[in-house]
Amino acid sequence: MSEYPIITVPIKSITKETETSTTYELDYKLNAEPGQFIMLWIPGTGERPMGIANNEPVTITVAHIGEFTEEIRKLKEGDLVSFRGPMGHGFKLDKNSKNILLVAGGTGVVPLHLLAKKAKKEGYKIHIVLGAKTKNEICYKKRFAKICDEILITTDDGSEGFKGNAVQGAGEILKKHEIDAVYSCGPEIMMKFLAELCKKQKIPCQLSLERYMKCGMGICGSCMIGDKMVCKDGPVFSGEEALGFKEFGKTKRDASGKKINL
Amino acid sequence: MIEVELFGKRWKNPTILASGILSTTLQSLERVAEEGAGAVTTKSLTLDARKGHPGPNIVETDCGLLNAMGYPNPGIKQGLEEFSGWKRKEPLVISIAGKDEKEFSKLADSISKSKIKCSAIEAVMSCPHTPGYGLMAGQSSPETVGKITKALKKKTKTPIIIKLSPSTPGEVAAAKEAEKSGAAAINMGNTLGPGMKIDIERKKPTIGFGCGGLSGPAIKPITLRCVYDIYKSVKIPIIGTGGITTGEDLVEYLMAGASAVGIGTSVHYRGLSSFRRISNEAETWLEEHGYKNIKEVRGAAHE
Repeated sequence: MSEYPIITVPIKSITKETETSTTYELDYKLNAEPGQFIMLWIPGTGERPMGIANNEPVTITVAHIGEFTEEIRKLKEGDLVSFRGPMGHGFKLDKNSKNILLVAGGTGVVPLHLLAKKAKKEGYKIHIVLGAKTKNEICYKKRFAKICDEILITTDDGSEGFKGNAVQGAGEILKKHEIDAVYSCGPEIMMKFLAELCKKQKIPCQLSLERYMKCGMGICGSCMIGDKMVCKDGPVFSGEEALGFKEFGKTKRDASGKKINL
Repeated sequence: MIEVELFGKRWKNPTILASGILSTTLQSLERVAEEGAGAVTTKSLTLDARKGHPGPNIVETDCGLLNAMGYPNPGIKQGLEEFSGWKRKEPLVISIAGKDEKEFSKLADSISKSKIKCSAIEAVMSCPHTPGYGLMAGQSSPETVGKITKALKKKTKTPIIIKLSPSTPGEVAAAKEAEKSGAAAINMGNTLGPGMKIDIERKKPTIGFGCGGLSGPAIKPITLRCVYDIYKSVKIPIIGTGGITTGEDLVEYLMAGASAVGIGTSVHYRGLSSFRRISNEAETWLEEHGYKNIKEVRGAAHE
């Protein structure tokens, strides 16, 4: 009767992705839609949502940001990890679009990688902006080089590629090409500017949002944005819908439900 | 036909969102009401903010859900600010959880002094998995229930619902004590337990807190029996909360003596439309069986 049974598998490989992130391949195969997530369980520490970069083997990339990721980093190849999922609703590819633009900020590359692979298989022309603070933090450059027709790297400090943010990079691509749809995952402020840019240019966009998630299955209500549950209704929302949420790009809630600035 | 009246307010149907499910934000409560709930209950508010227990917070079992959230909430002050925007016609119930009668009375005082328009205050004394609160603080005993109810009555004129547990013996005595001490209604009950699920691959309990309260179809027979027994002993209305997933479950609770039912875990099995579907199904059943008013069926199993 379980919709989300706990799956326990060994870690197949661990690779240093960048100075600030690590990639884990799990000895398991999923059939997740791009943009869906798993809830990763570290006994004694907790459970957190993680984007899926590959279905076979299941691949996740973890940014080194807190106590939970510190626990993950203690794991070695062959150690067991447990997760539930895939959960949530992911990105939708529209058969009528030919040229798509993906905009990733930092480890936002993760769900976009699975999307790019699917889009490639289905014959889309794929442009991607990989945004990072600095060149040491650019994720998945090689992976995307194999899949995408155009890669634009942006760094805030100009240490590699276009000097500026990912939205400015997206603007450059939109000037050069006729883009039919935009997909993004990354810092919310970035996605807000991107959604506004897309609205202005009348290009449909889909964004993967993040909120403090507890149950992951649409019951506890921790991850609400507007009247939507990020875990169950999302995590992917249309740009239009996201712009309609009063909190979008402004506030989120902490573990207690207290409103805090983004 | 399916409308009920409780605490002087009309409910469009006898379903109420049980506390703790989709009730952290005002907008989630609004959505639940939009999806058909007759009334809604907020997440339980405590004096200070609480982050809650580590995850996993909710896991599935063969027959229901196990949860140990640990009362995550932003504290009474922020919570009341959040819910003060309630403008819908569906009655709003504010849930509060205190460690003792002093905390409960401070919480009630905060509500009285705020501008919030709530139809009732629900005082929870039955959480099975949070140290310092509910069952883990021995709050289910008739003496404690009486003490807390009296303390609340001193601080507020708003009707008080006492939320009891199906897990401990003495629930009838506790309900009688609540009534004697001035409660306006009994909510029977809370999750049952605590229970446990062990992941055999990891050789570890799956719930982050170790154990958690069981909800859903598995607990219905027990909570239903509690409602049945309490109905024989008190005159105040009873809200039955435990495993209601279909219209027939709702009718069963009405026959046991409930005036309304709390719904939570059904959201997992049948989605947010549970509220509308369960009340529509109950209405159809009542019509098909020749009932003209929902009142006719209340307590029918006792006749």
